[in-house]
Amino acid sequence: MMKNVKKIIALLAAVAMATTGLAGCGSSAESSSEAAPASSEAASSAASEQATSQEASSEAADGELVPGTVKYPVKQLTITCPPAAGGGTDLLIRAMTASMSEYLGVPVIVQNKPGAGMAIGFSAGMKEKPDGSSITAAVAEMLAVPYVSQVDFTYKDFTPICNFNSCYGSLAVAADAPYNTVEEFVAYAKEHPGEIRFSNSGVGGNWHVLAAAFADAAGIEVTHVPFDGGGPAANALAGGNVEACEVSPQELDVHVKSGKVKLLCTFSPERLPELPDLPTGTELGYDTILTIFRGFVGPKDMDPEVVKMIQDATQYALNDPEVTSFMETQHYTKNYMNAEEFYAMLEREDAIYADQAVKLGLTKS
Amino acid sequence: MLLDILMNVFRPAMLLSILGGVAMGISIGAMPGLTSTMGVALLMPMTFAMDPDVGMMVLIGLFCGAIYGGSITAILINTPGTPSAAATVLDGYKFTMRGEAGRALGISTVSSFGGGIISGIFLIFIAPILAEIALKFSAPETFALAFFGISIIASISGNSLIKGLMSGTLGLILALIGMDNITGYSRFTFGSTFLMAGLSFIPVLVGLFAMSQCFLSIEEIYERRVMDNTTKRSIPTLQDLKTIFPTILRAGITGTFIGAIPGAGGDISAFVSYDMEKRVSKHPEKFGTGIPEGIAAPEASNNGTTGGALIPLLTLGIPGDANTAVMLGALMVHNLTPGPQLFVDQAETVYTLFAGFMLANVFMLILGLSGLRAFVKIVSIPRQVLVPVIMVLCTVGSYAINNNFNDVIVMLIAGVIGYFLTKGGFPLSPIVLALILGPMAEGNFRRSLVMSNGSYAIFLERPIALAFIVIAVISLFLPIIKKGIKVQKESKASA
Repeated sequence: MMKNVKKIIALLAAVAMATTGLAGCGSSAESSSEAAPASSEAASSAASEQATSQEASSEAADGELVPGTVKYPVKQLTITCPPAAGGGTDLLIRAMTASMSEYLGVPVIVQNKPGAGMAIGFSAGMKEKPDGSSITAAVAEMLAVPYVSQVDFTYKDFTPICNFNSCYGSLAVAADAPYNTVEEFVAYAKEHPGEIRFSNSGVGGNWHVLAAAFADAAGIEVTHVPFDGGGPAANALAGGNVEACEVSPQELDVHVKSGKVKLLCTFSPERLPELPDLPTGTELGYDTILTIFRGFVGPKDMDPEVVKMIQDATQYALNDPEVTSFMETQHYTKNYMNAEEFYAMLEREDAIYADQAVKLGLTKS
Repeated sequence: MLLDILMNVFRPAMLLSILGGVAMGISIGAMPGLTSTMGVALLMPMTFAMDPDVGMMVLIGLFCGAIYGGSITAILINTPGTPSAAATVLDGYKFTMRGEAGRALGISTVSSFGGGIISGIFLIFIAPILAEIALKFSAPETFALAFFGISIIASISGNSLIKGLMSGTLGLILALIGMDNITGYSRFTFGSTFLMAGLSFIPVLVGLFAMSQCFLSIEEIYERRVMDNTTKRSIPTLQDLKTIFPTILRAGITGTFIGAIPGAGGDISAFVSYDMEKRVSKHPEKFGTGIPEGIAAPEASNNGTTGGALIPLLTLGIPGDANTAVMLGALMVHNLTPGPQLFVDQAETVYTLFAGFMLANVFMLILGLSGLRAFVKIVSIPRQVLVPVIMVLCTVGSYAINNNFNDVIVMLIAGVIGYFLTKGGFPLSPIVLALILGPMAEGNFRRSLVMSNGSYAIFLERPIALAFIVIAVISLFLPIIKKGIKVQKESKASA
């Protein structure tokens, strides 16, 4: 009963954030996109239907995960969720909690702590006890926020547990633009320095940093126009108010289908299965990849055994048919990484944020 | 096809879900602190198990009902149930003070219905055209709209323009708190992480209106001042309906347009329509004293945004406001990807939604009118009982926004400020308007300048933006010019 009440209140909460719009004032991309859950957060999460569960199942294959066989050290696991309720991250975690709880044998509860560009949630999650009673949902803002606002945490203040979902950015331009490839686009931009305007989802946010890193790698001079979330950024391109936009293909999907926008490339490690004809930035020589990841981290110094239990519970949830079908219909890509892989990814991408934060003059003053 | 659609709409499950949605919406809207967006999000997961069209209709019904429901508390207890009803307070509560609460509620119900139906007609017939206009609305246009909106402060200031401007400025200053959207710089946060996100709008609104009203009532109870609780007339007269008909038309259309613009919703459109009606009225001085047009304008307008907001949602996949943003998620869950394709692939579902939307407005009218007598009874509840209940609702509502106790503190402070401002004769509506429009104006002004590389010409080169700015300037200076002409005429006459 209590659980339901909490859920309802959390949900109420969330949405109110969306209504006010004030809550989305955070500098980071997803914080604003969280404010309009469906428009951008859900869509950005909305990754490809592809690759489902390959990695997850390969990990799980060696040891059969049987629920109830582990003895979880505490009575309840609370997942602190920095994004608002009703957004993409929140919906996915809530879909997973039932089977995680079944595996661990204790209730798993999601508690949203939105606000301040997710700084509130991460700050609170970091200060919890490392006994397994509380973990935090990790999203890409965990890397971006420390560079743009005064917060008391970095990704190093957490124990990495695992990653379970990722999506990537893409480069989009107006459908009637004179360039059809990234090369032509870059050549055009070089001939017209400062004329190309990139819409992004918020200052210092993931997509802003990605666009800046790409412009850097291509050696072009562009103007970055920040909007409140990935959805509005995509709209700005579709409405002809900017020349280019780098957000996730899912956020751009509706405009691509209506013939207003064309995609030139994706910034993913490999070609996306749902867009097999679209080259990656890496293929074309622009090795700028930022991952919009979703995973779990815990407070510092968590017991490795507890970490293992939560990893197993996450994999158990990812293999659950209900979770699988939820992720497929909602276009979430399963992408399981264990703690080491997850941490390596965090380290690699943190360097990009650090580099661009200085170049874009975002570093907190 | 038409027959199929009607068959689809008039099946028991559908009718029941629309009715249920509208009824729930009205109750949620009427509660201060609970808004239509919360209601839509709360209900969304429950619609997953339903048929796509039935599930969507529950949400649309709730959306329409909640926007209307906000006016009930605005009229009865001087507390807007939702931000959209903030403008309804201006004239609505005056009716209740005269014992005509029923008449006011009747006007609000009919106007909301009228606004909803007008927006529905636009939705059905010219959705694609409006959607194209909405897409052209970018930063400069949004800034110009907000700039125009801020000029409205002049017409909602009540007796004293100076006090109204002071209230408006206070609202603008409060809106500055938090992280700046364009550069990410923290302003007036004093190192507090909580303030970094800015003040949440709902706690401030609830505190300013509801909590301060509670404080005032406590004072009245303490002083044993007796309020006239008797209600005289309970339904609007035929003359009322005749008076408000043109108002509903104008406000409904305005609401539809503003609703279609992404990022602008019922709260803004209600103020814009109120202002517009005051300008075209033959007796503008009566606005704010409790006249039918003063309720009809904001109510027809905010319900007009319901159909308006659905236009870009369905045709472009762009949500027009926070409610439809949540609905976009619901559409995706049901595998209905909005956009031009939806009208081709799922034409039947789309037109079923349109028919259902009209029906939701009819149900809203029926429920509203039949509930009139029951709603009015709220006024006769002894204040010793009503005030504590409202205070509890305010506290719970504010906490529920972010699960954060700091929001309750914000609400209480806003309540105390609202109490003293009311005592000092400062109007509260300008604060709310400025809080809504401040961030919108500022962010889009600076975003426009980034887009234009710093050239102010961007506001003059774009026709829609220019039009709004011209209207704002004219509306600001027209009263002064009019006064000048009047003075001249009088001096000539006396000479």
